[in-house]
Amino acid sequence: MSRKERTAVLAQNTDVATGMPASADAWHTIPQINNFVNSIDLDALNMEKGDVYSILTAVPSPWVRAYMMSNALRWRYVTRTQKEKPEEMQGMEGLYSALQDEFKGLLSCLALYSSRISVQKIVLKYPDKEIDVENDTEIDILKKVYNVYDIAGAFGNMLFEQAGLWSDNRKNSEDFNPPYFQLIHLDNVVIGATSPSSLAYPAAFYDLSESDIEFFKRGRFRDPIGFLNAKQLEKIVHYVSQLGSQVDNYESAIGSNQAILLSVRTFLKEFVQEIKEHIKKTFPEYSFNESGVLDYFQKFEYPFDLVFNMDMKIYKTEDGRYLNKNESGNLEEFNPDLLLLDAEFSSVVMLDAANGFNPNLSTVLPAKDEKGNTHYFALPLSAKGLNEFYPEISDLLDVNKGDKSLTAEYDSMHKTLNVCLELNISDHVTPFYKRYKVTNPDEALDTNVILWPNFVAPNWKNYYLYSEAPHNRKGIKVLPLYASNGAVAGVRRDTKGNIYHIHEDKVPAYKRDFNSEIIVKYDEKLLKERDMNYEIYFSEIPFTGVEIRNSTNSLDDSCCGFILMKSNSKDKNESVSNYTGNRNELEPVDVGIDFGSTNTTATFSNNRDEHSNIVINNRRRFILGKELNDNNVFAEPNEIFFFQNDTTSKSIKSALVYHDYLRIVDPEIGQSMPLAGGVPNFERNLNLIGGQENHLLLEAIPNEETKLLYDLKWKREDKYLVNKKAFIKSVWLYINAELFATQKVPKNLLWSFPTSMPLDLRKTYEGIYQEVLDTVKPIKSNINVNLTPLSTTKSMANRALSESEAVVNYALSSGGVGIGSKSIMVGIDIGGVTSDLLVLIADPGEYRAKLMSQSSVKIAANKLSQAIGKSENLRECIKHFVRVNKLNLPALENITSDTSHFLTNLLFEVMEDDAKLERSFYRELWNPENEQLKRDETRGLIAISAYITGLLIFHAGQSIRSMLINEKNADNFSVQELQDGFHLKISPFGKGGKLFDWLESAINEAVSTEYYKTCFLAGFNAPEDVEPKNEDILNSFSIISNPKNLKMEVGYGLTAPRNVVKIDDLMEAEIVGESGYVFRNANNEKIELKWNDPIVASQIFEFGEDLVIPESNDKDSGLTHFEKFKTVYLTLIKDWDIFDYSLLKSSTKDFAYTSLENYVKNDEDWLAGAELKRRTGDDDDFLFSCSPFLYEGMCFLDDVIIKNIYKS
Amino acid sequence: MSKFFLVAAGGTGMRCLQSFVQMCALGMYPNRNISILLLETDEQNKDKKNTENLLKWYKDIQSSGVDRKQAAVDKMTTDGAASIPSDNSSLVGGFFSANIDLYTFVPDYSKDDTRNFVVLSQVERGNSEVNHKLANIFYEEPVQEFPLAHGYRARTHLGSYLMYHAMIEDIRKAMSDDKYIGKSQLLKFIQQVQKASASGGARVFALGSTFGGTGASSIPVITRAITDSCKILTGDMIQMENIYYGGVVLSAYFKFSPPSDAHKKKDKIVAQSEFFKHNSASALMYYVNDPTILQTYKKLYLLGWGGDGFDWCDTDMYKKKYLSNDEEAKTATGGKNQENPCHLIELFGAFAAKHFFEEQSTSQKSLDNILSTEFKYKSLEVSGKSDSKNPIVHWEDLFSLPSPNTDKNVKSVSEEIQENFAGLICLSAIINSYYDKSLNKFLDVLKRYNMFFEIDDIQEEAVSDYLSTFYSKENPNGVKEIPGWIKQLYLTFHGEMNTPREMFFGLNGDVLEADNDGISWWQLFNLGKDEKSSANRFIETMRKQYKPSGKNAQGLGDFLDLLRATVKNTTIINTLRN
Repeated sequence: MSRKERTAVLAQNTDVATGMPASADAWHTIPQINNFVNSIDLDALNMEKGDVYSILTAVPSPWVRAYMMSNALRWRYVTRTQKEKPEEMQGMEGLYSALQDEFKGLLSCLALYSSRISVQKIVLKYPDKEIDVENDTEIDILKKVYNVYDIAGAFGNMLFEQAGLWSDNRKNSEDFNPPYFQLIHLDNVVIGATSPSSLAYPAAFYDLSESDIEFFKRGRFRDPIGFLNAKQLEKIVHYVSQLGSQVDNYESAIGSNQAILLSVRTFLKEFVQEIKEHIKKTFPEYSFNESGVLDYFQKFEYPFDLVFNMDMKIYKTEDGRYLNKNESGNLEEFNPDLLLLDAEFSSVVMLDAANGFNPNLSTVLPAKDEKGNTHYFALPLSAKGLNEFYPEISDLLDVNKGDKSLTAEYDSMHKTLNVCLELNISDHVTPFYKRYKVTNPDEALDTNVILWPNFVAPNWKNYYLYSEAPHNRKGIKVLPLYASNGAVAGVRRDTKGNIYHIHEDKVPAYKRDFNSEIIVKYDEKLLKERDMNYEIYFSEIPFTGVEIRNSTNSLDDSCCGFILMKSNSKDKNESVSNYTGNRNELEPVDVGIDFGSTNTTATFSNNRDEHSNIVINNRRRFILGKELNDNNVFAEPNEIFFFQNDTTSKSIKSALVYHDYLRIVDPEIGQSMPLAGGVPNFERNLNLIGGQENHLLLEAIPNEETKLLYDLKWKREDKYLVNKKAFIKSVWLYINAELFATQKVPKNLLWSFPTSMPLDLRKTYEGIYQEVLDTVKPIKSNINVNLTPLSTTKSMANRALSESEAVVNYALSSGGVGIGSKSIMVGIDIGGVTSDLLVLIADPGEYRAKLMSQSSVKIAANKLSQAIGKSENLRECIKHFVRVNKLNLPALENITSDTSHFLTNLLFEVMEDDAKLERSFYRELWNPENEQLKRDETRGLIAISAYITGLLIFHAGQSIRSMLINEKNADNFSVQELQDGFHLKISPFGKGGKLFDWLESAINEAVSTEYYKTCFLAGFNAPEDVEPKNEDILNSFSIISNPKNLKMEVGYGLTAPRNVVKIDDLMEAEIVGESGYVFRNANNEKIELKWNDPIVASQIFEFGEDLVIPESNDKDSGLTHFEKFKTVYLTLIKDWDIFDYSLLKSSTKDFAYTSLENYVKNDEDWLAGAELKRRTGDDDDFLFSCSPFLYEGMCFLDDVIIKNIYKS
Repeated sequence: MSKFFLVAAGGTGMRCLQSFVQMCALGMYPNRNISILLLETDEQNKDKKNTENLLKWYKDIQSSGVDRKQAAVDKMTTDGAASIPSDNSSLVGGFFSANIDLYTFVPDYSKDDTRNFVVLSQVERGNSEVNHKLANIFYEEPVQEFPLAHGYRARTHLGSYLMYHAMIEDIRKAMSDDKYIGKSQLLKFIQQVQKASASGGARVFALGSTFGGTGASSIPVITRAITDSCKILTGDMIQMENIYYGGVVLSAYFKFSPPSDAHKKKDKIVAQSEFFKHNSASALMYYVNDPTILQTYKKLYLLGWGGDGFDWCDTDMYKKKYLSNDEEAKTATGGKNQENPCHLIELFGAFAAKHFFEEQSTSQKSLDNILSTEFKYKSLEVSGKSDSKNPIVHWEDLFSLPSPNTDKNVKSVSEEIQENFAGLICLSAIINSYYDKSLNKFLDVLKRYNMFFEIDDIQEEAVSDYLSTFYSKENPNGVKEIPGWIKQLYLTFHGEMNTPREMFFGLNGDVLEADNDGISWWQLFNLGKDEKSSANRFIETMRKQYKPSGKNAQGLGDFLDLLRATVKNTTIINTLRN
């Protein structure tokens, strides 16, 4: 053998290259194989070239990354300085350096973005069901499996002899114990996995280009040090240090001799040291804190939980400071990471910046994007965080306030929200970062969640929440938060400490503490096809915010954040006031409710001579969405189905919008309850699409019909009883809120009924009011509200009043009307459906006046709307008027005969406070700008108003004449004082009171006054049997109107002092008002009724039968009184060419014969009385009566005038 | 007595196998049965084709000596292992004296459901989300999807996974499919191993590179693949302790031009020789640390081509110079264009197998005592100084035995190797040069000297093809000869100018120069002053060794034996020896 120099036939290296002797068998043994391998000479690699990583692919195992990572960590720590000279990094060092960087990147992600990290355990076994894990050997399994390449099983196979190292070391050797590892994801992208030899290693392929990780460049993690700021680096230092200390736990659990982890420890130390030096050098101003707190992280499973899971506690002092050491040993443990939502399961919801929320009420998280635009999000706090920050939530969102802050940046490209919670821990601001996916980046949440009322107080018990994102719908939903137990703020928890939600309370344990319920629901099965859905909650304790959730694929929805009510706000008008402490002493007041046919008014009075109507303010507060009270467009559903947003200065309409029957939780109960049973409607911008006999239809929700019940009071059918209850209860709720807001509490509820209302209906109303008081008690007080009872006593002191009584009470106490001994006051209250006529004279006693007679007549303002309903020309005229004057009444664009009544009221409401506009309307009627419109029809409206008012004044003349000649009054000094003449004061009230203005506005004052005076005198002098005809009886004639309190007279009258009017003991019942009626009594005796005889119910029952109508003659109808009125009226028509009066000629003579009986017997009240009488068989149960004269007038108007004018 | 099994995987494995077959042809395994499993992923691979051709000719040539071969087998069977003589000469025998059984396994990656990793692993089946994540953890995105039809393209982290499971799958399929069981050559090979392990032991030796695709992928897993396959065959009832694994770990030793950007763009995954060195190194790191390798391989023979004077062969230069076809000079990811020149290191690899196989160099007892892989390496003498060092390879560097009682009258194994090499070179060159590339002409001349051999056309053709592959053949594309195996080995050292000729076994460079058609063959021997007189001397020597066999004409085997005996009795010039 040669002794010459020899060289190894090996890859170039510095270990066994030369100098060995020849071997006897031509082969040498390598004693230190690792030394040789590590000393192989390799060129420097250009690590910026992506192909270089292909070297990793040369390692013949899919586990190469795990394996090479452990190699890389065993290599020396390659510093940033060394990396600056890549040409000096020989051989594999470049690759190892790159792998070290990846390792650092992986750890940095865990440190900084823990909330975006998810971990998934993968058991490396075949999924085949045929495998018997207890009995099959590995070879059996290989034989059995369907696809030997099945990834999990196949990769497990490739561990070969190492499989045990990757298995669960806690199991017995006999147990089925397949290898497993845990995938580490960032934003759901797999970035690495656990490995027993290096703890973790990066994935072969991970694309984080969408994740905005600063140190992810060209396909892999780079050394993060140069990319991060000092705060972030400090956090990494703390994380890596903690990790290093936890490696021990891992090692002891594993128990195997993993010397390799020594290199991991060393590496971690070097990493920490390098970061610290970098911070010192690059951020000299930065104050580095040697101790820090890490994000709570519990996602890894055994055994890597021992090293990667972080649960660093901090401690909270009693005064709310955070410390990282338990200095006194008994401080409360606290984990700051748990203060924010879990970013793995939650994505935050973006709120529409313009309309999504109310900045004065709702706490939301603002976040600027790259372009500087601000976006808003629900607060990503956890239940624990809510609890922790609730008292200072506003300060938390203000970085300049307090020692903690919650800030966020929105990454519009990746549609993620980067949230930073900074806490001052041991005098050092410590940030915690989380990154959330945004649930709805392309469609910011713009829904409405509304609270009512706009205050909270311990002694207020009725809170409502309306939500257009029902808690049980698919997608984004809203769940209300309740105040803490016994408080008006905070967030209520259940017994397990979770946030309390009513629908999750399967056993309604809450009922012990408070009552809350969903009263209007969303039922997916029933309503999923609807274009829009909503739900309404009631609660006895305040709502303090909302939780937003989103549907997920799993059973539970994910929380998307919270919106809390601000405790203090810049604009009190938009926030919810906290009345705790200043509502303990409430002033008791009397409350009057005038539930009118068209309008309802409430008033109050107290002992301090305060007497006012109750203005219903908009007490809605949007926690999501914004109040958009634009009357130019049709009302939004939230404006219709919840408390109203129009402030009502005088009265509200007696109209109720139903919720769809399917939406009411318990219709049997709910229908009569406030809000659930319907919502009083104040809106005038309704999208009315039609009407039926009893209700209107509107399209409040697209493609869905909503019913609106109007003229509620006169709906006699039993089925409407619940609606009336619901309406009045809601009104009562409004009233209570208004009173409570002004530190008042109702003591007495005073109410009234129309004079013409039958007794049974009055009784019904009394019952309704009592039920209202029994069920709606929002104010917790020791005062029980009394209801004034129905009573037949004359004294008005403590009983329900008729509307006439109330009006009189109003007129004389507050209305500015005085009655002297030579004065007669005629009060005319023209309502929506009925009108009352009152005659008052001076009372010689202590009262200011004496009520001598009272008539109720079903002729009122509704006649106008009937006309409008019939007349296309009128409707066109009105539309034109609305458009020209920009009245914001879009509903009127679609006025039809079905909707005319409701809409006419709307129109008149708009005009009632604007005299100029009113005159303009009459002028328009008189002389329509559109010449194609039939003037007969437009002016016909003026003719109708003149007819109604004239007829009532004519009847007043009859009544006064009757009073003066009534023998019963012979001893009445006050009456006698008037025999020679009197001053007549006519006071119109009520919504129809305005009708007296029409003529004046349309023609002129002189004509108007003359007309009414003539009507009065005609009535006064109409009786043929009374002499003398006295044209001079009137010392003066005046019509006194007080528009200020228009429509509120009854209400005011209810709450006005009751000691101003005395009802005359002999107050006359309604008179016949016409000559020639004959009544066949029970004895079949024909008794001719005089015009001033009282008319009684039994006679009206027999109208046209035993009560024989006078027959017509050659000239006229034979109704002498009526003919006199007609003459006056037609003179006016003829003189001013109001319409073609010849139209009436042919049908006037026989109208009574042909129509009157039928007309009377179609009166709703007549029918109701007759029905009751039929049922009971008791004649006395027919209680309804009305002057036959007034019936004649009403019949003529309806059947002759209106029909003839509006033939079309 | 152990039986020999060889696994050759991938392009380098194929060329190592070519060396191994040449060794068999040169008499290195006299009368031994050797089962060879050829593993390839690329059906079209030229190296594979060349190897298969070589084996075919080998078998054709060998068919002439059926009786002789059978006699040897009978002898082995009756005498058993103990009767094998331990003297050196028993390790070298006559030409084509080993019996080779070839088994081929090529996973079929041409089908729609096998064409790449993603479909093969049925990533979309079951929990596809998890499957994709796992895929991403292990494999880069392009790796997951590149077509496997041309092999693993140096992606051994994928290849090892695929090859292991491909073999397991083939055995599973054979075991469960009666139609397939007869077709599976892998199954037959495994059955042979299993049988041998149950009777005397099986020595399985793996040949392949650490830096390429198929070989580098297969070598690390072949031990478990074979053992697990045996277990599947036996229903996991039998321990497989008597399978002894050895293998070569070949580090990078050749280079080719980096692929163009367009090529990379088109194929996405392309083997790049610029990383071969690093690939080899990283693979080596794995080999020396991986518990599976350390526990399953008894011996691994590390070979590399580093250090001063170990110049790498530029395959592009070779192709350009000798194959003269531009198309073929381009980087090939595989396929019919992947044909690299043979290299001395491959011969070393083949001799590593011999070292592992032979009881004399690796005793069964020593194998049983190895608990963790023993790593071996080879050294060569170097001449020259500093910058101009030249490695020199001697015959004893191929195979030698420690022989304390060497009888000077008994030739050493290396001497016998030398003689056999010289014999085949001589035969090739003399036919190539002196007898117009025609064996028949040579035989006709011999007839004149009353040496009669009956060789049929198939054999004649096989010999011609074999010898041209061994020595050189005409280049159909150009004027130059295409160097044969031995000349390609010679080029390992002499591909560069101005390197000493004597580096290669001391053989005369004139004989082995690529352009030389063999005219200088006589310079290998101390025969005469020119080719003609030397040829006469050679035939004369043959005649003296010729032993007539009565009436029957002698066959090709006899002819080769005669040739060998002639060489043995001819002085070989080897100036560098000693």
